Amino acid sequence: MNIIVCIKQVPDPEIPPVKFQIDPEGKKVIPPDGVTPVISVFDERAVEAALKLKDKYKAKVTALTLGPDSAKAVIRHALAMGVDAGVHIQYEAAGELDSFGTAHVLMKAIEKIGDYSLVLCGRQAADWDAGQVGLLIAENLGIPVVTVAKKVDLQDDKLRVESVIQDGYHVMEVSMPALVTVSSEIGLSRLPTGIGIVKAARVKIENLSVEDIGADIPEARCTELIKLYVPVRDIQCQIIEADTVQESAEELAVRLREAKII
Amino acid sequence: MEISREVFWNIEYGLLVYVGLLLPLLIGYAIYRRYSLWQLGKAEDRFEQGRIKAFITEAIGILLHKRLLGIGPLPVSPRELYAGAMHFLIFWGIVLLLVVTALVAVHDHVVKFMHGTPYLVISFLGELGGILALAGIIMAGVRRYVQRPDKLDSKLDDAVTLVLLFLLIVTGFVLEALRISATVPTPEWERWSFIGFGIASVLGMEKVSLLPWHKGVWWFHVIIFYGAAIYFCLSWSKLFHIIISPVNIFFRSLRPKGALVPIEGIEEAESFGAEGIKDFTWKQLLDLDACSNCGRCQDNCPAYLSGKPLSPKKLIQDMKISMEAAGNVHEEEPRALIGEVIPDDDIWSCTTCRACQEVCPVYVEHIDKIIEMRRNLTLTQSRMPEALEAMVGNLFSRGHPWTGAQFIRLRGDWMEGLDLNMLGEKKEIDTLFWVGCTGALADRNAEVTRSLARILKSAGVEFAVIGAEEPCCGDPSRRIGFEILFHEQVQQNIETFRKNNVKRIITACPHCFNTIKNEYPQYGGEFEVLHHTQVLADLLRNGKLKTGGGGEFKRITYHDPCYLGRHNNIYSEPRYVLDRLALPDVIEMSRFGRHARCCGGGGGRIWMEEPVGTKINRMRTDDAIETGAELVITACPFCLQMFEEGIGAKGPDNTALTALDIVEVVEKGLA
Amino acid sequence: MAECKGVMICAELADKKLCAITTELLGIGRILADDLGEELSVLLMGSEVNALSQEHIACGADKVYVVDDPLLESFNSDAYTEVAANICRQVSPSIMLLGQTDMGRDLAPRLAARLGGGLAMDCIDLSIDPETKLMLQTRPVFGGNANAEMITRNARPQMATIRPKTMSALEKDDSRQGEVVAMEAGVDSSIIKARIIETVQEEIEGIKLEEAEVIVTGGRGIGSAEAFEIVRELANVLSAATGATRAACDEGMAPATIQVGQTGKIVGPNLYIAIALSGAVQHLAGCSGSKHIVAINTDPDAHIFKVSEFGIVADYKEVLPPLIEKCKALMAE
Repeated sequence: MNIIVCIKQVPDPEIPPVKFQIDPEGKKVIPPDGVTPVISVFDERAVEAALKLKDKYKAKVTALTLGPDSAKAVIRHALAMGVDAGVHIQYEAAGELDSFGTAHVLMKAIEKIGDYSLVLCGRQAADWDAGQVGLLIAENLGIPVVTVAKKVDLQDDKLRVESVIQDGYHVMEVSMPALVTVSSEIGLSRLPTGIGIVKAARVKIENLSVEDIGADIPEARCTELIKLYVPVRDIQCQIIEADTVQESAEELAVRLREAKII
Repeated sequence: MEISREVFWNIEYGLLVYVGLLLPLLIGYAIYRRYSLWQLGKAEDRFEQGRIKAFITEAIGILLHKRLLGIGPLPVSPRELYAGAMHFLIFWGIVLLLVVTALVAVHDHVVKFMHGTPYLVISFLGELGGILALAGIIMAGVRRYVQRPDKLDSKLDDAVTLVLLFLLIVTGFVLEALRISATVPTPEWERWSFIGFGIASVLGMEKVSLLPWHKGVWWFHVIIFYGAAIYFCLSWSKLFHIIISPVNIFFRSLRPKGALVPIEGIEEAESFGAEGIKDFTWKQLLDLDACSNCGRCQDNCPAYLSGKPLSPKKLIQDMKISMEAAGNVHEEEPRALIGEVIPDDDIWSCTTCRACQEVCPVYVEHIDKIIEMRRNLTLTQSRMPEALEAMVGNLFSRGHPWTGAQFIRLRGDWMEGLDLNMLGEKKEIDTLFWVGCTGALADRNAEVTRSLARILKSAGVEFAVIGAEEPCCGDPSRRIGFEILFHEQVQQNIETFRKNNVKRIITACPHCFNTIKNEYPQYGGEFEVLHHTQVLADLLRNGKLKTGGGGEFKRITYHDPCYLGRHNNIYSEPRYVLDRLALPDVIEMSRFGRHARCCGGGGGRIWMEEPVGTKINRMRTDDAIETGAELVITACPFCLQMFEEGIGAKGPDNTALTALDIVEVVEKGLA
Repeated sequence: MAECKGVMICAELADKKLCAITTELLGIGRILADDLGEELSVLLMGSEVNALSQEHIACGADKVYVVDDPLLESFNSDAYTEVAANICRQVSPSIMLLGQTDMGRDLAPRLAARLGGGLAMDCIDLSIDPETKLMLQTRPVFGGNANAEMITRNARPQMATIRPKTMSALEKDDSRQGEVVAMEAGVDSSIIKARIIETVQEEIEGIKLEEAEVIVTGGRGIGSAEAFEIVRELANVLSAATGATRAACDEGMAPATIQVGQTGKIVGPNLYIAIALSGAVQHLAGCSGSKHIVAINTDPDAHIFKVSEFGIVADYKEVLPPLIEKCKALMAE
């Protein structure tokens, strides 16, 4: 079984809100100094899902990313976790693409890699939070898709996917090839192992340009960003400080009661 | 009549004792059997230049029992002194006896010289040796079977050894007494053999009737001697430490104390560290035989003392059993070293504080063994405590070990408002102030960092900082065994230093200090590395810093960080700095200097939970409180955090203790 | 694309009733349609759902396209995508809105791909630009750290999904008139590639998060599944639902079903008590609709205090027992 996992490099989503800065003119986020970009968390879980399958069945897992030169770091990360190969579609302006453009390029890349049974994506990226790319790739490739998976397994040559819904989950069955988007419910992703890191350093990441895979970046984007701003919250928090913690707690209950909140 | 005596007097076939010349063969065979066990281990080069010179220098100290008796700047406790004195007596007693015996043999076969005064002196020395050894053996018996300290676990071998030695010496004296008694007339000069003469006067003088007794006891004495020798050789008794300890000391590590060994060929390796006993080097296995089970390590181990399952002594002894099992072809499946012989928890309990190695009389290298097993756990087996996984995850994705879903600070935040030179901006600045992750990211430690930056500026020290881009030095990765990450970090850092023409590095963290100073050279990174205590001492010495007020504390104590003290021998600089300030004298804690108790934060422990036993940092806080001090001063960001936690746990009602970094104390005390 | 006209919303049903999100979609759809001076239509897919058409009209729709087919009994992505695409091609709406729900998250991108429309997910505000007459879509990005305003200039339809509880429903008016158009599904079961074999409902103790007036949520700082009990205890006293952050769920302190946040439940209670959680923006994205937020955290710099009305800086283990007792006493009064 060949599995392709699409992963994205994003600014560390755990940057404290006070450090979060944007450039309203350029409609861009200014990453704070010294904060290295990371693999988007749901994508990391998608890698984990692929590796779980690899542990259980024989599978070759290829990590695929689209991004500038720096993005190969996330391929290294996935390799260190245990994937077998990496493909980096190097495109410095990847950040300017909308979901449709991104999905188009990734679709072309997946076709170029070829011979796949399963494509895994994170349910959404931790930067623009669109949650579209996986589904768009599936539509472009014309393969079935299951979203927000908490478990991916095989049963009689078909995929068994547990797809998270409001109050539980669906157990879905789908034949391959298919695309599955993975959610955090799949479980924490494994750490890179020592062996993994050593081996990762030996794997040559395949570096391709958009031309190499025959993708044509559309002139006009479907959706256009016209404004980016940091929303203002103007709440003044009243910190309740009595002599003891117990008194503070009781004071809180009283205040809430007085304000008729409870 | 000439003052002398006849060798083998009253004894026929006395020359049979020279069968003893075969003893070296027996000993050689015993050692050969053990040697084949050590050969199970991997190769390691311990034949560097300068080893012989180092051994000779060390041998004098060892013969004088410096470590055991606490001779030098830092004394040992009364209990340790007792054990040291005991060993001193037995050692020198037996040495005297052997020398006397050898001289007698020389007299008999080579040169007859034992006449007159030489004979008397030698007789006297023999008596002295016997009495010293006997006293030592009795002390040992009392200690082992009456006092029974926790660190000793008595095996049959211990009893057999003591009894055999005791019998040998007692029969030696009795033999002498019988000889004196049975000699007619009794020479007056035999009074020099004061013990023998004493016993003889009880038996009565000039009693020819005792001649058969003399013969009997003589044979008994000789048989015990050979019996003992055969027993020692075949059972590989602990007495073999007489031979193995010097060998082990000869091959002891000459690396800087704080440096771990890199994994060779890490980039091509398929497995890492030590999974089984054969993955250790021959020297690490030799250590196992050199250990004489004295328990000094255990007595000083913060993990053991705080109720953790780890005991460095037990670790070595258990590994020795593994080694013997591995050498025994008949043993079916030896138990797994990691997990079965040595539980994971033991491996993770170590703070790498080096207290065990510092007191070990035979230079066993405990930390190296633990790190080898950690390397295997983290790198090959990917098995580590959950909290460490989070830490490693952080090192990977963020480049520093500090967790936090929302880390509030960023690495450059501490610089705010300080107007510092950034590395690379001014070419002429070749001094780097290396802050360290903890000093940059933890709020409390960032205060220290800022304080140090202000002091350096006010003293006119020209330095640059890396700021937000400063990565981790690699100490956390290396101490938890995640060598591959360390391997990458070091190389990157050295490149940064070289690119920016860094010559001198001032660190605020003893862990960074140790790693950059002692471990970067393994990768060709040679820089002048200074800890802030050294810099402060220098600045005070040259008058660049002028002291003034700051005397608000009445009683102060100083905590030696392990990686500053034990690992790098920096004890006097911080004390000098404190001495120069308008502060009362430092009241030392019960465990200080070389024996200082670890705060509990080293070896990656600061990132781990500590569910078993007492928390080490709270014990250390109690040590500080015991001195009656209001202020405990340290020089390490981990120690500071650990003290603050310990003080917080006590609560303000129970202690008035405050913890400060020495930097903060200096800043308060400047004019 | 002059032929594209009108605003269409995709209705969502539960137990043969309109979901709250449907009325919210109708509410915002009505505003957009009025601003454009165009009609607001509903795409109603289901089985035996004709009777619900009138209710959609009462909530603001001008026209209801009903696709009544047993195959559409419950949401199935393959069938719904195919049907919705068919209808949209026939109706050619200029704007197509869905809810940011299990269904919308799945359906909207697939539909956009098939129709070639432009899509903005999880919008919290929609409006019509008076000059260009284009739909302005505001959506939180970077986990809620920033808001982005987007437009779809040329592609049609201009699609968006809206975050639950961010738009207001209209007052229901049964006297409103509208047209009901029956449409053919035109698909059979062969279209379904990903089959639902089983639906597992995970029991949630007590009150549902989405419906709760009060929610008590614990974060990673709670420490363990056992320690989480005290959070539930406070919830019980306040007749509240219990929530947890993603970090707490990830570490197994609480089931994923009670996760509040961007990728969990989006809630908007009257009172939200945040315990031992730092207030990651991704979490706030799920609870910022709350009217009153109270925070208990040991770290005075925790971000949660920046969005809270009341706060206590202390260890929750010390705060909760007296708080529970006091609340019990007050509630008994």
